[in-house]
Amino acid sequence: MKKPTPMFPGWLRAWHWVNAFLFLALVATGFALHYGEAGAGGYFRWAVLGHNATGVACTLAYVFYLASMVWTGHWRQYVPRRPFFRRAARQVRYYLSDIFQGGHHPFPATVVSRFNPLQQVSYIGAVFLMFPVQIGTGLLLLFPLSVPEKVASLPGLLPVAIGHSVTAYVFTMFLIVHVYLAITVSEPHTGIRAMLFGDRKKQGPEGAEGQGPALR
Amino acid sequence: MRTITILGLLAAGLGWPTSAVADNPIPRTARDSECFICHAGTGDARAPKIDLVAYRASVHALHGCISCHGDVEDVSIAHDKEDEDLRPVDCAHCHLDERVLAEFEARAPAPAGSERGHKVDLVRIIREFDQSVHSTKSVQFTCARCHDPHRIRFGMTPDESLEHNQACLRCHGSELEFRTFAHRAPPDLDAAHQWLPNRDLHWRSVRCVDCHTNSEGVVGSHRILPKAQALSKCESCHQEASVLKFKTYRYAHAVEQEKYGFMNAAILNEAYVIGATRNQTLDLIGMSLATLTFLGILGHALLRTAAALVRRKRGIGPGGPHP
Repeated sequence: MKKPTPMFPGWLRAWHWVNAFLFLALVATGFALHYGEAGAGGYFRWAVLGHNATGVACTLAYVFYLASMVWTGHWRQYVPRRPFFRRAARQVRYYLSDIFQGGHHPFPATVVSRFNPLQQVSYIGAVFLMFPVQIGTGLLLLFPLSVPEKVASLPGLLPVAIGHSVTAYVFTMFLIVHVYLAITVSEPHTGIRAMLFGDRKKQGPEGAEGQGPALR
Repeated sequence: MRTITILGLLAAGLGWPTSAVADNPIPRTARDSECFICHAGTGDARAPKIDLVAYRASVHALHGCISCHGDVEDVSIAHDKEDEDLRPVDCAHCHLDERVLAEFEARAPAPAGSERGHKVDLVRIIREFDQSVHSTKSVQFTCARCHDPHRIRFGMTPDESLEHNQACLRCHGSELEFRTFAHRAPPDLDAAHQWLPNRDLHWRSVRCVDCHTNSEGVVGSHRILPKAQALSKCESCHQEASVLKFKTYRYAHAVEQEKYGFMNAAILNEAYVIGATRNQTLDLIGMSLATLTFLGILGHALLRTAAALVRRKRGIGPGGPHP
């Protein structure tokens, strides 16, 4: 018998949890730096070191994710399905109304289509826009001498620092929503257990056969 | 125009010896050990002393004492009376002359990683220095007052060449030294910095010149401002998008880079400047949005719980995500 495909392949789970750990460390150390006080004591030094090291690790993990995405064809998960807006509206309705009435997920996750339309949009934003901005600005802050000292009479590092902060705030919001949805809203076969163990047993029937999502 | 400038221009343009070393009648290194008897040893307690270990490691050790102290006519143990009043050493003599520097570079190439090598941006420094209180309020102020030439090494960061703030404190912390130049008692540093929160912490991590030089322009300005013009607003560094804040951030990284090398400096640096990425308005918006997100999520969760309870009461069943 053919071994069932896990909802989340091993490399994805590995990256997810490594990234999750790094994210938490980056948020914690980032806030410590950002709101740091000079008199705060010895933690500050470690926050700087920790933020730098985890930032670089997160960058490497991101490169691994991109490469694996290309290698395994996982990138197809990010291609929106038609009719996109109608599907997205349906998902919005689910979160704002159906969910309170005991309604069901309009687009149950399958192996080939794990993301619902809203998930897809937010993940596209996170992976292909916010990650590059955060990593790019972070690297520039690591090598500040590579940034022009002044751009249009303002310090060249200013837009870099602002970009890093704005993206960090958006990521923090992303994290709050992501954790909430993962813990309380996700379907059993895409929840935290599935992300931890792959969840071969509980996957939906469509997933095993590799069909597209049910459009209802 | 100050002494330093005149001598420098003369050295550069009017045909003064291009190599102070080659043209000195006294052999370059032969007499150094004799100098050290008094100037590094116990030969004469009155003789100004140098730290021989630091000097041996310095770039200038190669040239020998009299390369710079060329007006010493008698290097025998007892100097001539005429030698007692020596001219201050003129750094511009060599450092403004590209040919001399090229000669030094050929003789003792700067090690890899030392970008500046023998070059010092003396034209800019002199221009800034001429506007500095060190120049306008004092006479005979030379480079060596702050930057001990007997300690200068390749790849030395500005912070090291100022021995952090020790170079400033040599005069500003000593009544005797300060009077020599300013002819008055030095200001009370403790009292003058009383307003500064976490004063000792600032002194440990911030250089005097960070606040006491003009904040515009290049890192490492030599234009020391009058006391009243020194930075005294916290937000100059800690809040607004100040040039100084980013300048300090860049500077701190430049120092770490010289210390650790390009890549290691990036990770190991401790050069984060508090407030360097901070903008109050942005923080307010960011924190508000994050809080709203959290509250929205909380509201959503509470509503769901309430709705589930109502459904159960009405016997509709728990409902659930699955068909």
